[in-house]
Amino acid sequence: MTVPAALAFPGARSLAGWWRQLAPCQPRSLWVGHLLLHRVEALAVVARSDRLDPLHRLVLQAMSRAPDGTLEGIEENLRPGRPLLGQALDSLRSDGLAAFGAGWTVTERGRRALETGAYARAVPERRPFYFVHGERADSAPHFLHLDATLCLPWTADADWRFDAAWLADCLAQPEDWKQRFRFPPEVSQIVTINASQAADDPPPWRRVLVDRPERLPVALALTEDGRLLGFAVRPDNGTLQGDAPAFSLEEGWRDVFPRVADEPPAEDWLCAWHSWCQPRGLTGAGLDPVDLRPEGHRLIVTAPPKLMERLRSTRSDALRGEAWVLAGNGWLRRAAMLEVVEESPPGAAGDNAAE
Amino acid sequence: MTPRDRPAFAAVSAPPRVAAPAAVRPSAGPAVPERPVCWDDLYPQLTPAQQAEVLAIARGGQAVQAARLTVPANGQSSDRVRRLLSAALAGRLADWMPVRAASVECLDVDLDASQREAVAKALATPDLCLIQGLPGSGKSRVAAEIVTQAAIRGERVLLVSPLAAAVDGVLEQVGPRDSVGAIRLLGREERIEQLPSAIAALTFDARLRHFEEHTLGAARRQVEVAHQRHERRQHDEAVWERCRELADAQERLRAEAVALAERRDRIGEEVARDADAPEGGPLVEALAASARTRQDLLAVIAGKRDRLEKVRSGHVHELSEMAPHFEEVRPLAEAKQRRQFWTGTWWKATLKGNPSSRLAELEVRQQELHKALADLGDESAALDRQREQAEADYQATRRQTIEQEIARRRADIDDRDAALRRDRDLVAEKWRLAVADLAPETAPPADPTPLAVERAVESWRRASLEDESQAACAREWAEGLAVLQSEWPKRVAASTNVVAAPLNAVAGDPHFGDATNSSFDLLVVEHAHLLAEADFIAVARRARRWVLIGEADFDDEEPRRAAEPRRHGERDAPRPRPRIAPVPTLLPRLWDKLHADPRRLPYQWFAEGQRLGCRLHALSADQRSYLESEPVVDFPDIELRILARPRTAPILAEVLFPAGMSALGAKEYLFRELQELPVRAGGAGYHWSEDAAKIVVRLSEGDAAAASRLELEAGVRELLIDVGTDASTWRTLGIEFDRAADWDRARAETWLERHLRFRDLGRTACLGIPHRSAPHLAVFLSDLLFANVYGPVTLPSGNGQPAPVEFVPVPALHHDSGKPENGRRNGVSPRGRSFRAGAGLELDLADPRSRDRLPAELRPELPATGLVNFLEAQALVRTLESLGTPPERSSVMVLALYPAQAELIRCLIRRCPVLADADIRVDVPAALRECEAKVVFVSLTRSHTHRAVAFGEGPRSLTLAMTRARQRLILFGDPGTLVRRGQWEGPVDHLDDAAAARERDLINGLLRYLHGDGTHAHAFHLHESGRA
Repeated sequence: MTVPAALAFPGARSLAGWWRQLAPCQPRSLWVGHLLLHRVEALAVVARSDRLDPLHRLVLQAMSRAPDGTLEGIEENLRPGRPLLGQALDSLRSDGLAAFGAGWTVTERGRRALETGAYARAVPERRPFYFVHGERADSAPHFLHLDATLCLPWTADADWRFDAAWLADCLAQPEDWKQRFRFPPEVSQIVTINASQAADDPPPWRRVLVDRPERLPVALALTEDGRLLGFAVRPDNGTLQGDAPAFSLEEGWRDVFPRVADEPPAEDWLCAWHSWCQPRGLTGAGLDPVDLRPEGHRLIVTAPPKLMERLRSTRSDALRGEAWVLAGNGWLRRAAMLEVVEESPPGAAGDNAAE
Repeated sequence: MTPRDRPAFAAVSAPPRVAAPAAVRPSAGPAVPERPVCWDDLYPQLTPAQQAEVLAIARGGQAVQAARLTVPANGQSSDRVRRLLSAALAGRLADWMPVRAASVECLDVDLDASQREAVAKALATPDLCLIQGLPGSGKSRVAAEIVTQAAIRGERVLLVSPLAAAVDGVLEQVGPRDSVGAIRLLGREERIEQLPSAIAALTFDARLRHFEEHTLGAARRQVEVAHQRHERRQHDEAVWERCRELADAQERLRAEAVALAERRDRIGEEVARDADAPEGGPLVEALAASARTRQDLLAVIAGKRDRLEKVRSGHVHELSEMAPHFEEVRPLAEAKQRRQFWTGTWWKATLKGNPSSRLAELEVRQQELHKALADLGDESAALDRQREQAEADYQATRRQTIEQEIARRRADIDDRDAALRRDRDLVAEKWRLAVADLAPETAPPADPTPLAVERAVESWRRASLEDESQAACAREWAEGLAVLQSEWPKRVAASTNVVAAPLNAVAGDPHFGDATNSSFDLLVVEHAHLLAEADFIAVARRARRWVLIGEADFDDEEPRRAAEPRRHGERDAPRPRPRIAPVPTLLPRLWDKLHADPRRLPYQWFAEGQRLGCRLHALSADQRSYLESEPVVDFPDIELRILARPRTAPILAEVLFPAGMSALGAKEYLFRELQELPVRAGGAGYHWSEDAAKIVVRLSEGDAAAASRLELEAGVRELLIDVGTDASTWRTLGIEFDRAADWDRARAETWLERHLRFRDLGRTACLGIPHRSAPHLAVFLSDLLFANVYGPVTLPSGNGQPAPVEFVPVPALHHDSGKPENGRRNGVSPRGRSFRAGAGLELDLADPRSRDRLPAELRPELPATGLVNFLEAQALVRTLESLGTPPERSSVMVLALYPAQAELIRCLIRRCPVLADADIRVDVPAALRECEAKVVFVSLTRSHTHRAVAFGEGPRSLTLAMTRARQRLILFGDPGTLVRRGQWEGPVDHLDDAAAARERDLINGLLRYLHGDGTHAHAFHLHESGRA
């Protein structure tokens, strides 16, 4: 998938600022760009711990002490009014806290809820799951647990699709996978339209999976300790939300961002260099770098003397460590700070930094 | 990022060689991302086609791409209600998926099949469902069932109606159902005290008041009661101590009593034992004294006996000594006596003296001894007797002594027992007092024993704990409620699953008025036929699905006229009257588009001479002039009539079959050769039913077993009833599809759509079976008001039943005022009556001269304006009086077509001693729209002398009045005025052309019955005397 020209990537000053902002995370290298995301809304059965509603608790208590379990008996005892009581009892029954046989009784679960003031229940609810769009056409999107506050809507073409099985596959993954990628552990089931339906299950249309394309402007920092942190960028002012990462991947991030795992090829660096040079008029004979070598967050450019001279003459920011380039042409690009070193004269040992 | 940075940001954008992908385009999003529309909100806004498409995508295992769903915008109304309505009213229904409603287990088991079908459709519709029914066909019950079923399914229902009474009618039915938590909103003009008590209790304020007074009040009372009970229990603590002491005392006394009883039982043994004791008390002494007495006596006797023995021994010795003497003397004496001197004995005797005297002496002595011995024996026997007597006396004395001792001791025990009993009674009294001192709820000991007391104490302890627990619970409940008090309105609102309101009440309601915070799953509109489109749109926005229930437009005769068999020569008769179409309300317009009425199909069967014909297309009189006839080549007897208008393609309009050809043959030919399926439906809708073997769509009522089957194609049959050559009799009962021939519902629907060019969207339901009226009354009303469109009515057998409809002419049909012109005989009501002109009894209260004709005492109580008919009101009240005991509220109702007449009747009722206390509803029809009664009196009021006048507000009002009765309908009116009205064509009074025509038809129908010509004459009775 290619990138639209109109889509903006951060400038050098922003990158420099972000780099300083991310310093506490000890980033080793930086990737910036846009995450293309599938925001998949699905009906999930979620295990939730709910606080016992005060009224329900009172009704449960009354039931647990009342020998007469009839609705009339409870109503006679409590007198909250039949509609309210009926609704409370229905709610308690649907949550498994009360049961109705010969009369209304408190279940074991209800007793526990009375003791603890809370209870767990499986609730069908429509909730969003985020998947990073596959970088290749044949690759499936990968689940990503992220803070989606700053995700932006996105318009996709006909190729954009999401197979319901991909979400089901996540659910079928082993626990360590779920922990690794922070798949919500409370989700026990994804209810699809093809699942068997009981009488009181949600209607088919609520079981439809809905995919909304979204994108998240992001800076990915690969830290010294091997984590990949994703920081969202505010779309309105381009500031990096550096306080807390939108997502954090420890191991397994290579599955999600396989491209990040590899350094861009040399031609991408060269292209980035040229892109940087072109607006500065640094093209022409004798100005091509002798060597481009990415090293951590830096792109070390071995410059011929002529180029070095031009840089010095223009007081280039590259010599002040403020020039940044982006390598690659995808949605995510490797960011690197230019570090220009002058080509050593023949016979000289080592590289000398320009400044 | 500073503003300067932004160009820099752009400066590092994608390199020039990178082309923008066609696949993805950035959206011009806002600075702060908007959250996507929730699917629950989005889906209902989609068109039915879109909904079907997304469901298909989902079933294919793919996620639906929300961005590709075109939510209406840019010129299209984003309002789902408007979109759906505009699509429906414009007939853009191609993308509406038919609804296949599953059968519903109704709570109201008395609902008929059509009502159940209506309920099922209302519950199954994804958007809109229309239910139409004639008056009395059970619309309110259906509405109640729909509301209840929806509530059971967890849906929130909004029930509205332009008429508050209609809402209340439904609420009265659903209110008591457990699954329904209903709130009644008050309309702008309504006040809570005006509502029936059962309905008033459902208002929000009443629910809150219920909380304050009942819930919270009861909780506080419970706390108080629990507290008091707890205190009483505490007081029991001391009582239990007393009980314990008393129980111990009682136990001790009881033991003593038992011991005494035992001792008493053992007194005999004890005394006997004491008597045998060597030493002892008085008993032993007494017994010893007796024994001594006996011993003394025995000793005396023994002395005597010894002496006697000695004497006897002497005597015996003497006797023994006398024996040798006898042996010696006796031979001597005998020899001497015999004088045997020759014997030595004799000689010896002689020598010895006188042996004979000696012998005599011996003998005397012997006798004396014997006698003495005998005497001694007697004495000895006497001594024996004395001894025995002494022994017996001793024993008797001993026994007596013992018995006396026993009696003494027993008396002693009795005394002690009595004392014990007194003690026990005393303790028992104390016990009673102690037990009475226990709290009423404390279970007293079963008996005054320590064990029982301990058990009771144990039970009391448990009860105390329970009390404490209950007190804690009550306290907790009361405190919890107090905490919840502030949020109670929210809870009440949240617990409400049915909100019922007059139409104008919803928007302004503080709890449910805000549409954004209060949405509903289902909107049920009662009396929807009175609802304007704008009103509906305003209220429909609050719900996802809508059910409109209203009266069938029975004034619109088009469908049923099309269904009516035509008589010979009637075929081209023009419609009897021109009509100015009134602007219909929303319901009939929607009904017209959504309801698939098989009677609207263009097919018409007719008889032309002896030949049966089928019209495939409706033809105007003008079009008929372009008809060309030609015979079928293969079947020259069959004539085709082709509409061949200039410059238009010819259309096969009619097919005429040879004489004698049956409808079955004709239909077979039409389907086989022309692929036409000219059905004739008797019902107003299509009714699907499915079983394991077949799918049937019914078009008429009838017995399928008796139907003829016309095989149309493999597995498809048309069921025909009353098939004959007469075109006016047969009907299409339905069409049957065999599952064995691979027919399923979808395929059957497609087949029907192809052959009958209709699509049943499954969103409409008709109710036509009269439930309110008794059968004979129903058939009368059906004939008079609804052109016999009421559903099948099973009439009870026997003709002896009184006519359910009575007409009381005012004035009475006396010979001089209402004399029939054609052979009226004494007491016999001949057919073909005619009536003279109106009697002119009506009075206009606005006219002082007319007003003066009323009794002076009535005038102040009547309104300033309005029409009254005093004589008619009097006749009506007299008839009411004749009913006997004051009727109950539900049994009698009086409807007058004019408010002033209603007031006059009320005045007369108040003045009638028999009826003064009766609760009789008297009002105009509109005010009693939702009411019904066993007997209904209708005062037509109008009685004009010389011109045709309108009756009430219009024909609907008259219809409304006549359909309120369950068993008996009594009409009061001036036949002459009715005749005048029936003769008048054209607008009259405030009625426009159409309304006037409808009223005229109705009046003429009534006149037919007055003349004795009614179709159901047995159901109608004319009281010629002017009294019922």
